[in-house]
Amino acid sequence: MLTLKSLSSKIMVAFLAATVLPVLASSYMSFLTAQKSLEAEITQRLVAIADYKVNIIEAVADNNLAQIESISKSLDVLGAVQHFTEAFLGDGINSDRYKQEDATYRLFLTQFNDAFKYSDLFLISPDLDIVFSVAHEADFGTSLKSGPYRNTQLAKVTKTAIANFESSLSKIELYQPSQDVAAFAAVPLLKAGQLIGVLAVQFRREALYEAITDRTGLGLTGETVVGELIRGGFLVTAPLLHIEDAAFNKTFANDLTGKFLNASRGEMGHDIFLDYRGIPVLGVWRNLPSYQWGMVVKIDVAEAFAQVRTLELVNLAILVAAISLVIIISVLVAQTISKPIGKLNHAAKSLQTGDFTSRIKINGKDEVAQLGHAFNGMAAEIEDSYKVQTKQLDELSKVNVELERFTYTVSHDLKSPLITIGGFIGMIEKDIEKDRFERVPKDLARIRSAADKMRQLLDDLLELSRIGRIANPSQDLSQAKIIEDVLERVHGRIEAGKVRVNVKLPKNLPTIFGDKSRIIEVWQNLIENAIKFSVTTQKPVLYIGAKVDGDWLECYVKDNGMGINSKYLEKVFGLFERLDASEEGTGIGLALAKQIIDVHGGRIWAESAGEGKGATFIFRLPLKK
Amino acid sequence: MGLSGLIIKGMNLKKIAFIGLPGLVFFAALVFVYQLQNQHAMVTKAPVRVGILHSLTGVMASSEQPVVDVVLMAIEEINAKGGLLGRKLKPVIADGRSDEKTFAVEAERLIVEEKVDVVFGVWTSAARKAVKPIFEKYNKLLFYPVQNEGLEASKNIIYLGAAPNQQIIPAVKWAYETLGKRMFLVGSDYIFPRTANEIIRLQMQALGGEIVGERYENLQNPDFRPAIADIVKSKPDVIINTINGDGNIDFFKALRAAGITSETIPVMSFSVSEDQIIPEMVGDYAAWNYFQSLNTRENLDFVARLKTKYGDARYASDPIQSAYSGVYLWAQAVQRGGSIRAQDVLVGLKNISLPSPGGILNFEPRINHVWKRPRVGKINSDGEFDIVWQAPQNIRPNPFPMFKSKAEWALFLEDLYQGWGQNWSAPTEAK
Repeated sequence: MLTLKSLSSKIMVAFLAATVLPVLASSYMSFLTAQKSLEAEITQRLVAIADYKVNIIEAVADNNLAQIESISKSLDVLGAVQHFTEAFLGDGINSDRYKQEDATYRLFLTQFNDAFKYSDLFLISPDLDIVFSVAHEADFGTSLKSGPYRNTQLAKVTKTAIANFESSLSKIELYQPSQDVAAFAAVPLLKAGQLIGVLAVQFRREALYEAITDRTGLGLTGETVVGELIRGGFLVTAPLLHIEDAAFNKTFANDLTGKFLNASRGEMGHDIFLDYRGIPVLGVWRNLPSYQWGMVVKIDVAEAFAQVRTLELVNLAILVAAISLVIIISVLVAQTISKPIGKLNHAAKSLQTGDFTSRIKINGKDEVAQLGHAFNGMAAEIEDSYKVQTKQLDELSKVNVELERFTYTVSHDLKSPLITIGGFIGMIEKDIEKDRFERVPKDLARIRSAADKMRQLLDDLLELSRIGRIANPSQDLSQAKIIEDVLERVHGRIEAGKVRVNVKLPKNLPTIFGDKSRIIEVWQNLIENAIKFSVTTQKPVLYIGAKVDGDWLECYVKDNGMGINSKYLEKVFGLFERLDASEEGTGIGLALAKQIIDVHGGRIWAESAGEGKGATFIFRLPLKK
Repeated sequence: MGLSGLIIKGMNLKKIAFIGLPGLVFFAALVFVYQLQNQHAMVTKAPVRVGILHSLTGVMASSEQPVVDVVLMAIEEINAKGGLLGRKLKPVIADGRSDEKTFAVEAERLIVEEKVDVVFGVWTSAARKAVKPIFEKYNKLLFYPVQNEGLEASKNIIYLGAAPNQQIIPAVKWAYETLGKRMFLVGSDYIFPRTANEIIRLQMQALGGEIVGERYENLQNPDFRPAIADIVKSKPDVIINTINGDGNIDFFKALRAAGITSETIPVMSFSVSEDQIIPEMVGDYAAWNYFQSLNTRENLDFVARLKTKYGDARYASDPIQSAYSGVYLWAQAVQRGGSIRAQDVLVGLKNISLPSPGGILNFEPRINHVWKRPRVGKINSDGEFDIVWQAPQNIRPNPFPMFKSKAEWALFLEDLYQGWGQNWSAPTEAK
């Protein structure tokens, strides 16, 4: 089975099979039918011409016999033959008596001769002497029994007429006395039931060949060939179109001879065969009984079937045009299918090599376009999930880094109280050895303080890990109430730091839905943080407030403390991030705040104009919808 | 599973619909076109009814029955090749009972009741004369297979046998030159022998021969004793025999019984064919256009077919060959004319020619006769003919010998007809 590699070639083959084959089949069949009927019609026309020629040639032969029979009934002819015979047998043709008879009968016999356009007219005695002729050629006065012309067609037809007592027609043959081809008719002359002589006439060449050489309806190459079968072929007995002086001079033994053989058997047929020039001809063969000839009416195939050739060419042209058109259309159709598929293929390869942005242009709404849409959708999906994956990977690595730092920080921060505790325990041991107890209580207090700090640190860590894992039930929260609570809680610190607090809340501030204790933690952390970093200032002031911004509730805690270098604005929310290691606190507060806000679907960030210029911590929480 | 199964099943149905149906339509179209192309081969039309009219009983039956057989053989052969114009040929046989009046009645019955399109048949000229007006009245064609006395050229009769100038005149001329100039004429008493002998008499007159005696005997129950007595008495050079039917056997037996042999007085017969030959005829002559012994490819084939079908005892004779070829002549004319109507068949027949067991068959349209080659055969001891003479070529038919004008011949026939009480043969006398 043929394997077709490209889609286009498959489609082309399919098109050719689906369209050209039926067209080919139907046009070939209709061509065959048309060709058959056209050829049949042309052949039929030639057959009609051949039949018509046979009819004319045979009718002329019959007519010639009827003419001579009617002349033979003339009493003057009967008288003439008797008188000429007597004169001939008496004193010969040069005698006065013969001349007298000649003067008597010549005129009216010549009138017969001329009226029927004979080339000669003879009166022949019962003993076969030519006792009269109109033309007075060399045959006049000779004996057809024993004379030089005893084997001529004139002699033969005369003998046949006497033998059978009927008018007879001779074959056409070269006749020596006339130096031309000739045929004769003869009729016995009877008087009172007795044979008194024979009337014979000689037909003119033109009259004999008229019907044969008539090329009516035979075009430029058609002709009628007549001839008789002889040993070694057939002898042409009438002029040919293509060979001069062929009559009784040319003998052919070829294809044409076979047709003459058929014709002489009596077969009536037609066929295409090679004529005497070796050129294919359409020929019809017939038998001419009057002359015992075969006849072939023929015309060159090239001329006869010119219309058929034209039909063939037209058909071929239509076929070629149809196939070309189908090929063009199939190529176009194939392209509309294969081109987008090619693009798809290209885009898929890009996708494979990592270019997730590759998309294809789509025209139309067909199945290929739908496939394109599906491909583009798939590519978009892949791109999205790739992005998400990348982001997750980024975050994961950040967390990893954070975790590493956290581990370090935790171990460091936990180590330092342990070192303190270890150091003071050592000192206490030395003091106890030396029995100096006065510094022990103070050292124990130091140890307790370090242990407290450690416990605080561990508590905070525990708290941080709980957020998100353990949630209190959410409820509607009023920020004003929460701020009031928190300020109440840190009242001691505010007092101690002589911090002025400025709370600014719009009336009818909407509630948000959340974990009350957690949100309180956020506020507390931020406020404590602000106090911590602003107590160093001359006149520490805290601005606390909230407002609605779109779908968000935005809260802030602003101080006029030491401020934050812009490069640390992000970092301050990290675990154990303390801008100053000497700062009190565990360094977990802001991280905790961020975690809580994140869990609530909000956002927290810090703003600062720079070191010494105070800082603002802002968080937003989604409003209830 | 169920769903996917359904889908697959649906796909199959679709495939069948998309590929199977157009395929089926395409195949059906091809078959249709093929049938259309070969329509001429489908013989579904009503058959052509072909009448066969011959004597199946009576004195002519032994001569005519084999002719019926050979016509049936030709019809069978044509049917085997697909018939004519896409129609089969259906033979309808009628019995003329060796009686001219019965022939006329049966001819009319075949045409009117049996509705035949053409008739092949009739042997004796008396019967032919009797049926001629019937065929002319209904404008049907009769293909008549037997040699005849001429003086007739009906447009409704196709004369397949010899006219006088194709058998009688050349054979008599040959006998005159070869066997002798003193002739005794003996024949059955009906139109053919009477006319044939009138022609021979006129021919002898022109040639200067002598008719030493002339005798006619009734076709149905002949008595040849007076004729034999005349022959013995007149001692002719040659006996010209125009006896028809079974009478020939009686005549030759009587002749031999009287001590006349073929050496002492040879007989030239015009109606003795191969199937009638008896040992008493050996050495005598017959004139025909065809003998079974004719050595041509067509004839050897024909004789072989005939003997295969009807046995080795069956002979081909001139009328049998003419009847057989006549069916083919008609068939070819029907095909050429494109119709079975008489007027169209006549167009098809015009100057038609065809090969036949008897040689080339040329049709002469104006007189409805065919060209024939006269031959003389001598009966040998095998019961066949040795061809001893034949004309150099086929002879144009001429039913009206020039010894009399057409008007004179018409008068001659009328005299005979009236003399027989408006019959074409002498009335049978009760004996």
